[in-house]
Amino acid sequence: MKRNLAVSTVVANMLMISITLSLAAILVAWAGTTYGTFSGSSQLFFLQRGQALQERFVIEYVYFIKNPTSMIQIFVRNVGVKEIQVAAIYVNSNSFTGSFMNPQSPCTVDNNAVTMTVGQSSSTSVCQFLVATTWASGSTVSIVVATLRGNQATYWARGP
Amino acid sequence: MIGGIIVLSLFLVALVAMILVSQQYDVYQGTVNKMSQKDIDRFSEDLQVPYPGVSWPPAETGVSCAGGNPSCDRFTLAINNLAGIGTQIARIYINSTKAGTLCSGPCVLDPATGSTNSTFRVSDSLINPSETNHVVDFWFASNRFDNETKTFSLVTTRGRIFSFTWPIPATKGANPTGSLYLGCLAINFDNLLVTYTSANHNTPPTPLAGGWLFPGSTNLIFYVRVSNICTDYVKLLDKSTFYGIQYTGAGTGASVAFYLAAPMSEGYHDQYFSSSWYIPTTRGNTYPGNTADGLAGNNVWGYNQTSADQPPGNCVNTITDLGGTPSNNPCYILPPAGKKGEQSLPTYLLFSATDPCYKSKPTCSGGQTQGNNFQGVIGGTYVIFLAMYWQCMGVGGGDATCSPNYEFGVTLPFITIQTCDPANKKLPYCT
Repeated sequence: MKRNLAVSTVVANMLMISITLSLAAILVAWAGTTYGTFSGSSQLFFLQRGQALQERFVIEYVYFIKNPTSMIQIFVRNVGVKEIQVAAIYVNSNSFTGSFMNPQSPCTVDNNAVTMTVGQSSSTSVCQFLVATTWASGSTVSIVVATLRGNQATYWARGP
Repeated sequence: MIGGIIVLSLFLVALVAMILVSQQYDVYQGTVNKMSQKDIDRFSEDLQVPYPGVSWPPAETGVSCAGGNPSCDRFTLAINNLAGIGTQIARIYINSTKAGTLCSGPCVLDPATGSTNSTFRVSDSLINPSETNHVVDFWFASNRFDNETKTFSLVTTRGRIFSFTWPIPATKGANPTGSLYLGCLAINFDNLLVTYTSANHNTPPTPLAGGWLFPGSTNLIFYVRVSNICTDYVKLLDKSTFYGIQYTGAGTGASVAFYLAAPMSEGYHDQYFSSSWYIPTTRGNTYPGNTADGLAGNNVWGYNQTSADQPPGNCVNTITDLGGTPSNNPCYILPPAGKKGEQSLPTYLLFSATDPCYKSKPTCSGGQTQGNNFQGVIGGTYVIFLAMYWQCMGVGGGDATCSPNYEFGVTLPFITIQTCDPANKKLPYCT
């Protein structure tokens, strides 16, 4: 009678246990990575949303310079709890970025953005931008100030 | 058992992840709540500027500001906080119809601890909840603060902007106890309606301490406040008079006329009659016989609507220099109302002269005339009429109800007064 050779019962059990543990380890590692990525992403999302949410800024005054009628003074104030970085100003959909925003001292352009600090005592919590754009008396002017975090402040005015 | 360990491991990993996400969401939700509360606070702010808005403290005008500006004056701005939350003013913007001349761009006033030009007092910037008539001192170059209409914008630290136009029309906040409208003229009956000076009483009390009590037997200059309700400049004529008829006491039935005197000087106006329109002249008419005005005895400078000898120059039908610059145009020209239904800034008219002063009358030669007085018994009562003549000037299209081709005249039933003795300090109080 021919005898079939195979692993012993003990070895077979050990093999099965090893395979199971390996698969379990892989599964746990995969789950850990997945959940870690999920929690990390959500942390980043909430962090960014939270920072953006803490931005508050207003266009507190707009002055149309009459001689010549090619300049508009825009006064922006940071009234939030986070410093903001003004990335662009849009006047009737024409964008002004970088040095074209023309911030007046003590505000300056740094890395194509104007940083505005928090606090009444800070000299850069309010910035004056001198935007070179023509306007006409009686015409409507739309002004949008945008920050790097994606917030916007809008202002509508009619040329005096 | 191994399966259980695996399931437990997976459960724990998921649990840790969920706990982390929940914590982050809690932090985010806390930020949302905090910023929502800030927004609620922000939109709760409610500031209102009551009449007259901006005024000059009479006792402290002409203070020198730091920074080498000697012509910087202190002004006060009264503010009501209608909200149940404290508010702090971060900046004040002043814009004018004289764009570019008042300041280079809008005038910007920032908080400061001292008296510096174009600043306001930092300790005044915080307004308590529900506080009324909170005074904010600010300093501004006096030569810039003329009678041009200005827009004030108050910016709060929370980012709200509250604006008002100065001057505030009297009808929107003066709350007079009664108004009388006749023709182009309006008279608001309150305690600032009329005041006076005499040779012994050089400072016009505003308001009068004892009501309508005026000293008898001494020459007086009456300062009467009127407003224009026409939408055209109105020039007063020199026939106008402040006319009294005695109706009690010895001498009942006697009458006395006080005709218009030349307008007061700019400096005198600024010292005693702030927040009102004035017609500048270098002459003065502070009190009868003021030697600084070049007068003697009980003389006053009479008002002459056309004369070439009206010092210091002609009174002509132009509106040149009506903005407040001292001019050679000492006419009583009342500014127009902003629109129908409103009143102009009030103007103080001076009544004193015994005779109407125009060139054909010898008694008014050179512009000087005698001041008048109540000669009846002390304690006598008078009924006062205001006889007003005027002519509209037809400026800027004028007013359809007031043709510049005609002279108009009305008699206003004005006030009743009682004479008193300044030497007698007993009641009724007489100053």
